[in-house]
Amino acid sequence: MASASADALEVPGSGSPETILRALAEAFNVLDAKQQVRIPPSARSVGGLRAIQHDEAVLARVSRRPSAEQGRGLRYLPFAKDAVVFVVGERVRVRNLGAAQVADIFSGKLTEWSSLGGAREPIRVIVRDEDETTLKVLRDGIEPFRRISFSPNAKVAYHSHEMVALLDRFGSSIGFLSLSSLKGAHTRLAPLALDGVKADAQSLLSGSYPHAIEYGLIFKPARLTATARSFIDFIFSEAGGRVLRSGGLLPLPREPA
Amino acid sequence: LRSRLSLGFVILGVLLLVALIAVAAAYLVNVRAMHDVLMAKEFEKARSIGDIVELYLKEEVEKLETLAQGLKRDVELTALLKRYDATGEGRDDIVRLMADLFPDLPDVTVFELADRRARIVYRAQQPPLFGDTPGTWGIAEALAGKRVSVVAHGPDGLSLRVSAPIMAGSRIIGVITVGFSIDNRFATEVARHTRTGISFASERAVLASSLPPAERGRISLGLVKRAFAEDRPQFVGDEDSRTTTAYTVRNLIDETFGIVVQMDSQASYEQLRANESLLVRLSIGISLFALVLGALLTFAVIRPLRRLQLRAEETVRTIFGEAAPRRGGNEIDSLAVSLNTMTDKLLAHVKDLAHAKEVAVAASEAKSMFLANMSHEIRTPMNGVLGMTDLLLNTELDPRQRRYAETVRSSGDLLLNIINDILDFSKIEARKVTLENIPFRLRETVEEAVQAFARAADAKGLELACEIDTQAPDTVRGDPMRLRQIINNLIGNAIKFTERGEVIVKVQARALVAERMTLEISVRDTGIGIEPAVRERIFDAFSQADGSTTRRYGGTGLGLAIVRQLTHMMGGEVQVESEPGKGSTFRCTVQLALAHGEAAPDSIPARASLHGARVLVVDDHAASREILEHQLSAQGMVVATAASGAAALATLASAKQPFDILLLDVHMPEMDGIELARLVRAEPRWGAVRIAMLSSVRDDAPASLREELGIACWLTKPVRQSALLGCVHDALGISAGAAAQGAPLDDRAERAAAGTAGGSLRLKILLVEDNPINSEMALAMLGSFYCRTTVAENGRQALDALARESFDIVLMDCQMPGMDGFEATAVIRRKEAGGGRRTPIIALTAHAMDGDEARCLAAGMDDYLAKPFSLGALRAKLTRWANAPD
Repeated sequence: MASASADALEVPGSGSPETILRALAEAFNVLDAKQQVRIPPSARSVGGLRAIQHDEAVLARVSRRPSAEQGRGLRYLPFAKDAVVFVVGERVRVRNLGAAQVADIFSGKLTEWSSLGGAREPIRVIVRDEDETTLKVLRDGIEPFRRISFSPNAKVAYHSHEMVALLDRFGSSIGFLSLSSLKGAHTRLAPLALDGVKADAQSLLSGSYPHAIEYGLIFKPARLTATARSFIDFIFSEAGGRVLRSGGLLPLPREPA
Repeated sequence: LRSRLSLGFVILGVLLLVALIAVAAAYLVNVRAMHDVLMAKEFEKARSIGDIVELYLKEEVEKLETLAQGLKRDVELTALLKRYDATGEGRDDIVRLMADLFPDLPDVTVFELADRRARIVYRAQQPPLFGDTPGTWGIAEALAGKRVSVVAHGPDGLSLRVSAPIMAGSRIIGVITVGFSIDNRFATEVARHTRTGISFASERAVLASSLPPAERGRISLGLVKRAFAEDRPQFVGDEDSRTTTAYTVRNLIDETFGIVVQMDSQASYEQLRANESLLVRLSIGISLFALVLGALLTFAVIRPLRRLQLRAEETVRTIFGEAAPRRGGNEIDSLAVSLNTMTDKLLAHVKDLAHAKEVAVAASEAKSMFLANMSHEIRTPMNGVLGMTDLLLNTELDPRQRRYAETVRSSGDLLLNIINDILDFSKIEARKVTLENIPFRLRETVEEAVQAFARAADAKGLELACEIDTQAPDTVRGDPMRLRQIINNLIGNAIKFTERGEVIVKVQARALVAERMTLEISVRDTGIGIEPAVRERIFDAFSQADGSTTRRYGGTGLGLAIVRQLTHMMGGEVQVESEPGKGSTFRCTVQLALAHGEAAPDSIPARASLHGARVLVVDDHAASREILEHQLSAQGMVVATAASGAAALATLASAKQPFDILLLDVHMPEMDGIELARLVRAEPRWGAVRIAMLSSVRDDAPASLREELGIACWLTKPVRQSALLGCVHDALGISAGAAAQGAPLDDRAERAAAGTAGGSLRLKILLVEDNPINSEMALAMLGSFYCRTTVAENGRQALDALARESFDIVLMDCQMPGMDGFEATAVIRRKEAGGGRRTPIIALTAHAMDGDEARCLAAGMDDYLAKPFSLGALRAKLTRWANAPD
């Protein structure tokens, strides 16, 4: 396998698509040793935007569509949809929750898994900061979830990898993640069905699981390098689509320029 | 307000301003760069402090873990808890034991024991919560079997806790927790390690701080939130307190904190101030240097500018007699004012000059017209004077009357020459003369010019000789008339100022380049010479060597000026070498074009070769001898020379081969040519030799003498080459032809006519002339040729006369009242075009300006005779046209 060279194209930004983009970059890097892509750790979507605006990068990743003001002079190109799922720690046996239960858990009304048919263990709630995209998706999509205040005992993760680490560390915990981040983590964490609907590419495509996040690339068209163009072309290629689907994502058609 | 501010001050001001702006820009950029460097240093410092905090916490966690590990293996505690787990009894013992242990735990503020159901059994900190299950993070996880460290939000606030399971065999019977509160005390302890102010914050609140309450209030939660949102540090510098506050985000253990680090930046700010101070000093130094350099440069620029300004003002004053107006402003303004004033005045001056030129041109044209008119007006009476004098001289006169008449004639000739000179000079000066460019025979033209002075030279007893370079081309292109005028003026001048000796004319072809040749004509005399002081002036108009010269020798002094003008027009120049009392040599050059294959008028037929013929030249005059030798040698003849009759006889006697021809000068001291010829003829062995004689014009041997001595031909000095060669040919019997064939028809006819002035022509002439004097004179002249003449007073009368009868020749005046000569000629020619006989028409006109002859010929006339004309000239013209074929 070709290793990323020192002058490889770096695609900074959001943590949610980090896992799937790493998989895409890995598949892309074997095609041409002269064109290499590297996916650095999360700098959040805002970091990706800043890198493009300040010409610190030619291509960045975001997990939400930039506002009109943020996107001035930039091109936003969505490439996949990823489900946002509730995830539980390894000791939790519960695999399905209703929307109201979820709201009660995160607000601190339900504190024991035993009340939900699980073991007699405290529910460790892990949330994201309020600006974070997966939280926004859930707040927007789950009515009871929309207005709750999180339990004062809840821990706050500021990156996907922090969420994964906390879920992994505390076996009776519950949090939420993008499905691709969960798959890429290779842990014994488990996704929950919501109101009986499991999140996968099919339910996303059918719309039966509506809680999805959109991943996109941002760039200034005039500054795109040959490698960046090739990488974008690869993401929208058949091979790129296969990688996305294998990560549980729904590939999106390429929007015309 | 326009003060007279020197340009120097303006330039200096601008330079200073530019320097200040540049220095200020450099200063600002440098200060900003220094700030950036300072911030980068502070950033590194903040990061390393974050690392220190993280490390400190890890060490603290390790300490707690060690403690927890030790406590969970405490045998007494395990035994008591085991009993309590089994029976629910013995809690007091447990509490007592825990209370005993607690003071010995360094820095621990959180000390708890929970049973296997996560209920609090002992708690050192408040509230005690005995029997509660507060759900604090870590206890349940420890009950699951592993030691866990956690940052927990509990009823006692935020704390760092390490919980470890207490085992009874393989069974977990409880959890021991040690830790400490993350509070101000903890923050102060951390700050002690980092030597900074440290605060721990969430997005919503400051959780713990080492800062005094007053400073704690200055922590910005907005910047904490921004640090969280942007995931990168934020910095705030406070120059007053010389501190920098960094807002960073760190994940410690399992919690993300905003860490606010207040750093003492005294040293950095001092460094910044020192650098700024250095920058200020450097800026001032650079500005001063730029000022001095600018002053030097300005001085270097302004000094010549000021000189130029003064010069311009002085020029205005000098040329126009007044100073340029001063309107303030700097040197360039003043210079501009001076130059504008000068330009305005010069333009006005140029306008005046243009007007003056127009006036001058008009005056010049008026002068030319005046000259033309005067020429005509003077020539008309002169025609009467000279013509009548000619007629008078043909009558019976006593010696005194003849002398008087001849004086009138010569004075008239002189006056005519003067008029001609003035007219020529004026025309050339007025650039009214254009040179012709026609093929002509060079040799003949030169020889004719020289020949014309034969009488004058002879009259003064001067030897006049001419030598033409044998390499000179026969035919060239140029203006033969003006070339002849040059030669005429030079020879006339030489003869005039030479009392005795010789005048030698030499013509040499010099450079031949690209179908053009330079002809050098030199005229050497043995006359009075020219003083060096006046040599430069003699080519100026109306200038002779001195005033007495004019009085003594006469003349206008225009001849040489005309020569110089003509040579310049012909692309050459004229020079003089002279030695007072010994003579002068005038040397002039002219440019002529070669005329290959072009036939010149009156060309001489090619002659047979004279190569190898032997000739003896006998002449006492060395120059003549040399010229003859040169001319004959050039033809391939074998030439011997002798300076006297005796020497000639000796040469003849000693010759191994007999000579074919003897060329004898008539006038020689001791033994003249005639006597020598007699002696030669007396000697039988020289009987076959041909004899040719050379004489001056005045000599004319009787035909009987020529026959007696067997003289083959008689040449007149100066000898023209064509005549010489013709003579030699004739003498040797190589080619039949006239001895004087080289002479042009006009010249021959004129001389013949002069010689036989009263000869009969018996022609029928129509004289068209309105001037009664001219008419009478012409009638008298024609009468002397026994011509029958009808007079018409204008063109119309002429036409009437021609309608009545035919004439041999028409003599036509040009300017007449009614119908002038040009119009009358045109009518005559139109009528003749109908098939009638063409009557020769000769123009008689006092219009001697250039172009007159061409105008006459264009009108249909056949020839041209300028007034005043001589009897001989008239006869020559009549003879020529009387004999011309129809």
